[in-house]
Amino acid sequence: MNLLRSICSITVLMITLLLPVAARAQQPLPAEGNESQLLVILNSDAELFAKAKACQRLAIIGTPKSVPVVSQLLADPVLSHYARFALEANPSPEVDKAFRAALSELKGRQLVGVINSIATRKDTQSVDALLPLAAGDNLEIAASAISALGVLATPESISAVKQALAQKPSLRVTAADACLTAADRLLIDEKNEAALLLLTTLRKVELPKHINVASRLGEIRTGSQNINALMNSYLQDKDPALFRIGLELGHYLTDTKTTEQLVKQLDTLPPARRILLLHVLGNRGDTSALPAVIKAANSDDDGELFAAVSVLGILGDASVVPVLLQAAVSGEEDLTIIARDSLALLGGQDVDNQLINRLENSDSQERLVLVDVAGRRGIHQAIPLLLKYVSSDDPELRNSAIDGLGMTVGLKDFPQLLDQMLAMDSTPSATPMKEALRKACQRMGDQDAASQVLLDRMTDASPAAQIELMDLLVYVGGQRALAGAQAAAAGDDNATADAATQALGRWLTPDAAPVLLELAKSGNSAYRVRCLRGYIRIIRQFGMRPGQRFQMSKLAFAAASRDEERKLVLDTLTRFPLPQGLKMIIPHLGSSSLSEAASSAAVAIGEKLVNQDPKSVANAMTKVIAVTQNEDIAKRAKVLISRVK
Amino acid sequence: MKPNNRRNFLKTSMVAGAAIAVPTFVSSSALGLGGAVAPSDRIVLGGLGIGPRGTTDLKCFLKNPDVQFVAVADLQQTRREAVKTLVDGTYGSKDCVLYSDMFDILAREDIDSLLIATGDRWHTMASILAAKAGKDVYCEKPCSLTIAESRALANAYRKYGRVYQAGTQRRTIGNFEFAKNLVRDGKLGKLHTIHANTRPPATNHHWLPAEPEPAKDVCDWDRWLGACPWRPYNSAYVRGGWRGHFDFHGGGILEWGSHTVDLCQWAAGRDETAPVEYVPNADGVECFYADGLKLVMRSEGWMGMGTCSVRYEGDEGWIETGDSGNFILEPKALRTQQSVFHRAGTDPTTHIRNFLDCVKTRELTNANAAVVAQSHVVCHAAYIAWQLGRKLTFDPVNEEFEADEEANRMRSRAMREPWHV
Repeated sequence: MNLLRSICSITVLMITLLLPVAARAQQPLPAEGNESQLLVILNSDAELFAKAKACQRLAIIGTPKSVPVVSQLLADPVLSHYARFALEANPSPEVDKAFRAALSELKGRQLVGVINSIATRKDTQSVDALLPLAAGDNLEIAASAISALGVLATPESISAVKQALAQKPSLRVTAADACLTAADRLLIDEKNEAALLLLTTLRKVELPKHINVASRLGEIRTGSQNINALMNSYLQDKDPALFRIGLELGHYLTDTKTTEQLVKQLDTLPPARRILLLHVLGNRGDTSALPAVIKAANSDDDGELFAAVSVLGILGDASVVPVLLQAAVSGEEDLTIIARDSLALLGGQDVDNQLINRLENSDSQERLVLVDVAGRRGIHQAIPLLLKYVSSDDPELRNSAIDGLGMTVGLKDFPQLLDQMLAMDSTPSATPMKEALRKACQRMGDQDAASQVLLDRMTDASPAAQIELMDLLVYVGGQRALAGAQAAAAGDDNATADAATQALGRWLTPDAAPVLLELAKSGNSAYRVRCLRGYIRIIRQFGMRPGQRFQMSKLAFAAASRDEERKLVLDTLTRFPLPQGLKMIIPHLGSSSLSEAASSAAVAIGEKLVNQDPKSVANAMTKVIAVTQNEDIAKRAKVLISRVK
Repeated sequence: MKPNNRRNFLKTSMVAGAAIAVPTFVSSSALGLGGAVAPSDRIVLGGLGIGPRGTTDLKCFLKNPDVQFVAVADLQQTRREAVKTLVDGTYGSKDCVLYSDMFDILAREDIDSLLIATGDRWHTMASILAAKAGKDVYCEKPCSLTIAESRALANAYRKYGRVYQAGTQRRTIGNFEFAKNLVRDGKLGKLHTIHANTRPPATNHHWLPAEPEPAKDVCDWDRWLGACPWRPYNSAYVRGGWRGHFDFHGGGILEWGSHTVDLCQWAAGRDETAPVEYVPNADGVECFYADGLKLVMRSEGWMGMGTCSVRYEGDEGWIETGDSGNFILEPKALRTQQSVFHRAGTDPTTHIRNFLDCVKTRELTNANAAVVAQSHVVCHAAYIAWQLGRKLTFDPVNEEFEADEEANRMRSRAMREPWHV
């Protein structure tokens, strides 16, 4: 009975594994069944797919029992890799024995594969068997064996790698890589002396520059050299690759002695290298380099000057404000940008006070810079001056002041500025003020409190002012703002509802969607279409899961009372092609007013889904061809049908 | 699988190992490269496997005046010709050289750096081959398909001292950086839970029906497969249908987790470690770091901030943000710290600039091999737990699961001959 049950279960398993195509459901692991069942498959005449999947499953569950069966496949040109897939992961020592045995039996690519697996398993007992392969004439096999010997990193294997380095010119780079690998292994095992000895070998061989670079990095890691001395010598080296190592060390070494040495190097290097070294000094963040960087900011070389001004923003304090301001008004466009960035970044006490003092007494170009910087630094004391410049005739100053106000105005100043804006009505000066407050609203800390400031002013406001208030509410956002806009939109006052629905239609977050849908179905009838369009806009523009978009599209379609909005929904479905979307469109192919829009949408979705769901696409395209008058749409539908066939 | 990255470098090479600062953004003009750039100052760039995403990256590279793109290697004729059209059209020349074999491009000594945007299965292998050939690399994500590949990648870049930037560009995008800074600056209080937006985890193990193999110069199927197990050719794989197949793809956790788990590790200051416990559920995995910090990988229940969202929760506040650039947070007063962000999370412009700057200054990139290898290890460990359907305990130092041999066996996959890393 047990035997019968076992045969039945293997038969079921075989049937499962003999079905390679997409009809099967996704499964987390490669195959089902226990080890015995899988070995039966490997010993049978089962299809390649079944054997392949059995091997992949055995990689997870195979025991020593599976090794003899799987090893027999190592010589099979197609299944050899699958066999290694099963064996390489199996921790049994029997696997190592099997791989060693295979070294003398296999040839060509199958042999290469086994050598690679031996390296992965770090089987040091294989070294003796690998030595002749590394010394052999077959370059592919020798290269593989040399790499494996590097991984194994025993005294014997390292000796063989060195031999290959000296005696096999065509595999010199492979052998050098194996040396680096072995040295890495020795370093991990804290055998630094042996690692250094091995890496020194590479110095005596002619190798590509990047290998030399790697070798020197390895030498440094052994810790046997004076690293600062090496850094200094590399920074002076004519070879750019070695100079780059010097830069890397400049980043790594963290003591103040290094900063001192790097500063000394600044005096001796050519400008192109000084630029890169300045950035290293900035990245280190050691302010002891500041005097040297200030000096470099007086350089005649543009590149060095730019780099120094940039680094001053990181290392500098209030003392460098004059230097940076001078650079910022230099008239050199790139330098001005960098200097402004540095002024905005500058840390340390008294920077803000110094900037405000300068702003009060500045004019023309310097004033422009300071307005920009005051805004970017969010200096609260600058607000009165920024307000003054908001109405400036100079468009650059005006725009900077608007940006600056946007970054500095908080809830405390908001009501007063808002009232100022409303009092300006439609005068020209109102426009920049509105812009500044929009920016401020976008970053207002307490959204609910800011919303309340706006909503409190709605009651007695004129229709034009209501539109302005609602506009700002959009930029504040948040729950209170949304609730306020919803209440205003649902009210009987047409002017208020007009302002509120306009705002909701431009809302910046998708949480307005349910509000808009509700208003589209039962809100003020004059603005229902606007609200539905706002809802559809959210489906089209905001990031959300396709399933969620689809559900919202269905709701929008159901809420639509006009074909214009129905067509918009059909078009929206093409933006996130789903089988459900295609299904939703099909009934409308027969509608006299929607037929063409539905056909166009069906074809657009079909073109995206044809590989995923060919049957549904073919069915839909047949219906499209039957109804559409558009030749291009019909042609595209026919192409899709032919692709399915 | 002992981790062996720059931590070890510091440990073994110097007395004190202070933290390495995150590279500052260096504008090309600040490097003395504003405006026209002398040919000798340009970074000579090549491409490997440039498809749709690679083309987005390439267009960004081409906008940098200190980059000269000279050649592309691709197994697919149509793709390499499309790249030539784009590059030659940009430069007004006919100079972009086409190769079908990547080894031809690796052998070119004049090429400093490579943009690698092949299918996922080739990312680790091509990146390591490039490092061995002395190239700096910008490689699309995910960087690896297994824990073993992740470690091999980090080791290769440490060993060869090359510059590597993973295409996890959100590390160089304002809203994600802002969220990270709130955590790092303690504005959210003590961090207790971090959330990473992942995709449904499953992959499949089936084969598509066999089709006749195209000529090698149209598409070399054997090379396309690379180190992956052989299977019969089907054109759908080559057209992008390789996604979802276990042999070629790391599943939905890795697909987005290579961005979002990476962001969580970064924000929480865990770039050098990994959670120690992984508890799978139907939709994703919940993980716990050694100090109790919880990492939730899930695809559902996000607040509409866009794809690849993350959420960081502390005992004094929280923030959620995503690819839209928008964010929601508590307490609201934290909004004053930053204006609105407009750059989409998918835009690689600043990330690519960070790579180019680091090629010159030799700084670590924002998404260097060591940190992305670590976050990929987390994704792989989570997917192993999900596939096995049981809680796993993980040792992040030795990168081993505790008392679970099956899980440990899934840390690597044997590579098809002759490939090895």
